[in-house]
Amino acid sequence: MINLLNHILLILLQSEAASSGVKERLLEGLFNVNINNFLVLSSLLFVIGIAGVLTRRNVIVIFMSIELILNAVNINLVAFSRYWFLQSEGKNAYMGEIFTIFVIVVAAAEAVVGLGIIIAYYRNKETVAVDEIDLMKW
Amino acid sequence: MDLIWLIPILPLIGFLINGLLAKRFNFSEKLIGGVGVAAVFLAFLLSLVAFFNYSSWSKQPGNQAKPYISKTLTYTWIAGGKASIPINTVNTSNNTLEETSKNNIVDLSIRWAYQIDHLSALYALFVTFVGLLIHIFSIGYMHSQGGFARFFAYLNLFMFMMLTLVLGSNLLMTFVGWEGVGLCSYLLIGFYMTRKEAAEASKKAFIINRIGDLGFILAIIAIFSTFGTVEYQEIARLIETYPVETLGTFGVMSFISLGLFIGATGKSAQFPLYIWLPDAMAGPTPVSALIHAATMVTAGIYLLARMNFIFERSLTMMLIIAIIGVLTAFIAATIAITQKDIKKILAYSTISQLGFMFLSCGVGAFVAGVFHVLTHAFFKAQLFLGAGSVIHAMKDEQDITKMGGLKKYLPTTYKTMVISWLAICGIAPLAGFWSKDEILAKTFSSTIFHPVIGKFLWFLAFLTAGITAFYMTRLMALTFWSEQKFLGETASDGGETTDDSDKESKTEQHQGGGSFKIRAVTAGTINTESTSSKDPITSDRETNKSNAETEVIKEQRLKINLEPSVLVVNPKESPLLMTLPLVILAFFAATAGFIGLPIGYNWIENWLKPIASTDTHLFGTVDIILALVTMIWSGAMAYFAYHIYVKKPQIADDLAIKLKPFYQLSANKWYWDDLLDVKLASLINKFNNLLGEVDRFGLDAIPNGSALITRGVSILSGSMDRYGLDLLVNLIGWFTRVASVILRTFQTGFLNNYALVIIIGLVIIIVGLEYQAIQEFYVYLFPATPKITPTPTPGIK
Amino acid sequence: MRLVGLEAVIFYLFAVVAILFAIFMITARSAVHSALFLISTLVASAGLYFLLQAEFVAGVQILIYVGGVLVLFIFVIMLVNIKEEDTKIFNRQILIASILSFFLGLGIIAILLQTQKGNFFTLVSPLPPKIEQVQNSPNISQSHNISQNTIKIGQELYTRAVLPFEIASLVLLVAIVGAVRLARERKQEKIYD
Repeated sequence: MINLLNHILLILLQSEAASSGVKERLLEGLFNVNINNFLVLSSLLFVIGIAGVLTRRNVIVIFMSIELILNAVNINLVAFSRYWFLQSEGKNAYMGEIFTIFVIVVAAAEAVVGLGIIIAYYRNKETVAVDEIDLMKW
Repeated sequence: MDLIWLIPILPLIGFLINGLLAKRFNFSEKLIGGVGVAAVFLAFLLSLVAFFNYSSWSKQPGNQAKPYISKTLTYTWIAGGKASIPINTVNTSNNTLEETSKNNIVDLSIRWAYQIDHLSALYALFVTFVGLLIHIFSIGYMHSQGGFARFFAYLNLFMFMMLTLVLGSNLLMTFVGWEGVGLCSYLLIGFYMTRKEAAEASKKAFIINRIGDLGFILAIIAIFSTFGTVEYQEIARLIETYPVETLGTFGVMSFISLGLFIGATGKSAQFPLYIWLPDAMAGPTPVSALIHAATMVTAGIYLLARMNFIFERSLTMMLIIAIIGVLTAFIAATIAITQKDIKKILAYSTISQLGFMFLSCGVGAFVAGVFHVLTHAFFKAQLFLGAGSVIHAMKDEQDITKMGGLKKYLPTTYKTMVISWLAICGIAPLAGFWSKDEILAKTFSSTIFHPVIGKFLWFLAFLTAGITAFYMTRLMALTFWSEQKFLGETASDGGETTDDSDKESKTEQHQGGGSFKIRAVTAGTINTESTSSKDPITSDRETNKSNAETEVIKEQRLKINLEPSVLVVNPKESPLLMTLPLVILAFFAATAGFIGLPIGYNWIENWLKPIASTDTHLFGTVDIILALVTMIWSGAMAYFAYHIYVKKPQIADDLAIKLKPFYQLSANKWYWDDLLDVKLASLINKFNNLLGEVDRFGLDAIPNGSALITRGVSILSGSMDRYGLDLLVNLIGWFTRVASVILRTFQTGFLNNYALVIIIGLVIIIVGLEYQAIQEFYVYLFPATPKITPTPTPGIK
Repeated sequence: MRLVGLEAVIFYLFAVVAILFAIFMITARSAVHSALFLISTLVASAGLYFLLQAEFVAGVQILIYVGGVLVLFIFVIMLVNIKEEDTKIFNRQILIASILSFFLGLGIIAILLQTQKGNFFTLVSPLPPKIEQVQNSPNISQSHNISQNTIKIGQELYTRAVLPFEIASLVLLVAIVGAVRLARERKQEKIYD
């Protein structure tokens, strides 16, 4: 379906702006999304996730940030999987996606255990703020 | 036949089930026993099938005498690299080894593989069979004692280890099994871990076995460095090029043999290292029967028979083995005469019989040794189980001088034990006769040493055979035939036993209705012992209670009219579960000898021909005469014992007083234990004290003089220390304290801080490693504006 | 790999949505809002997976993350019922943490840039393919095979990756048991202990 839309867009572009050189060059650069764009996107999400872990007080939000970090990694993996699929003509192309599935599984398991810990902790201390969890302090 | 890997694995499964699940899920005793027995029973069936399959397989052309190696569960266990091993050649002129300059490149990889051949088929068969019977016996014996599941788990683990030992295709696997059975032995000797002597005995057994294992390890290493492999098949193939080392020389083969022999000495309880086996009787009786009489201790003989081609190449070691064997047999037999503990007698008897087997291997008759292993396994297991039955009936009393007259109480046990007694004494058609006599005949006619040595060894063995008959008869006499020396409850108040049985039957009827009723019936009565047997939860409590109650009764009776040393028990024949193995074992104790008849078809010799070469000695009149003489001698000794212990008991005491030095020697186990335990230790202590005295008066004068000088100097340097060096030390301490204050602040205990530190590390790594990239990026982001070089202003003309 | 035309537009759409909502997520006052923003981010990345023709992973992403994990998050937020939300949502180290994160992001992008040897984000690149090329390209011919990806992943998962697959099931089992053990009430704990 995407390709169909793509098709239509190209027809439009070619009929309309075939002559104007500047417009074409701009579109060329902008609408030429390759693996680098995905990598930049995933690194941005990764950094945002890290910022969340570093700055938030609420443990649950910290957990969400960790999920975000894992998601960034997933985007990376899938992008490389697709890239490799086209480079190697389909050989070993699905390993990235399979790895993504495992990452999702582990993330789910981690969320379950982590949230269990949060509930247990909340029951004892009546708080989920990280700065009040300081039993490890000297 | 490819299923032979299952033979060891099945008991392992049993071990896992009983060991891991039984306690957690509160298995009933029936289920635990069922699992344990079923695992061993299946293993036995499989070994039976494997035995016959292998028998037909090895007869096919091209397979002759080859071991069959299971394809399943075979993998490279230890993968080493390539190594070069010098090739030896035999110098034919003076029959010695010479190293050639060429090296043989070998692949040092050891595989885990189960193999079956003539020897291991035989061993696996009798190990599983005897093991099976003893498992069945244990269900009855261990009934309602604590740790039922633990016991069966250990027994199954032992079976696994023993079968790995027997069925392994290389020395290292055998070593794993070897250590494994040692471990199981340790665990099972110390089974009653609350008893101090059991714990100590288990430690003793374990440590003394380690001494032997050291020799075994050295032998394995020597074999590895000589042949480049530890596979039995390969060693047997490679050994062909090595010459026989004659008496008095000590070469590679002798070294390997010595190591293997030390290993076998430890495991099979031979002369210097035998002291652990009698103490090992602190374990439960089925364990003594299975591990310390029938199977584990014969592992040494297995090793000797398995590596017989190496031993045959070292006549020095053969002689040492023979001498150690016969010495062990003699010493252990003489010790057994005066022991009072029924199990200790049997333990010394086992040591003595193992000595016979070693003697047999020492004179080159490996087949006869294995044959004796087989027959001995049956009658000794039977004797131990019979002893277990007696102990069970006597409520854990093991002193035979307090028994007597048990014949009428325990008819089945008695009858079966009589058969084994005759077998071990070597009376004609029973199993022990054939194997023991074969050993004696082979020793008498051995030609590998000087004939006189053979005759001498034979004479000692012959003496030992008589002593064996003597002490075994003493055991039987004091246990079964002589006057009753304990007080049966029937004697004191006759009606009670009938009451007892009535109550039992009553409660047994009620058992369908649940435990509640049983308790209701037995509440308030005294004899609750056997009532709660089927109820696992309450059984412990109930037996404790009833034990306490019987103690009370005992005390009361003792107060009234009895001396303290007289027991009050009411011996009863053991249940069918315990007597059935006795009967089966007795049957084999009677008939197992017919597989090795010296005349006609000697099956076992034919069967083991691919494993061990047999000498061409023919059966002649000398052998018949020897056999007759031995039998008459044994019979005479047996009658003598019967005479002095049953007919006229006072003779025995007289003899003990008259022959006091000998009696003391025997009763104190030839002082060997004392020598090791006390004398050696005190000797070392004395030596230490002597050194201390020398130190104090002789050598101390010099230090004392120098000490004075030192003190003067030290005062001087002390003051320097205090004001000079201490400042430095204090400075260091102060610095540490300040640093700790600073560093401590990093330990905030907050999650975010720790994460921050991780990220700082990450940033540092990135900056450090990818400095180039960052620079480029900087340039990319802020492209350097091209410097406007000031154009040289044209000069004004 | 090159996405051109409308695909590129969609990519930018999803990318901007993902990044924006991620930033919203870590700055939202209420934890519930955070969860909702996270859902948006995850859905956007699922869209990106679609764009990369990884339909199965996209489906899994939506089913597990959005359908499962985040519902779990919201349940937990309901259970713990935090009240001090309006006081302070960031801790003391926000300044240094944000600066550090910023530089970390720059560093990662710098490394990416170096690996591409300067061809990064440059406008100089070959022209987008013409219609005929697009029609003949593998993208068009495979466009109807939406389930092909799922079939392939299934095959790989049960042949080459079967051991990790089984291990993953074990991991989930352990997580279940652990969660049950952790989340017991005190009353239950007393009963068991």
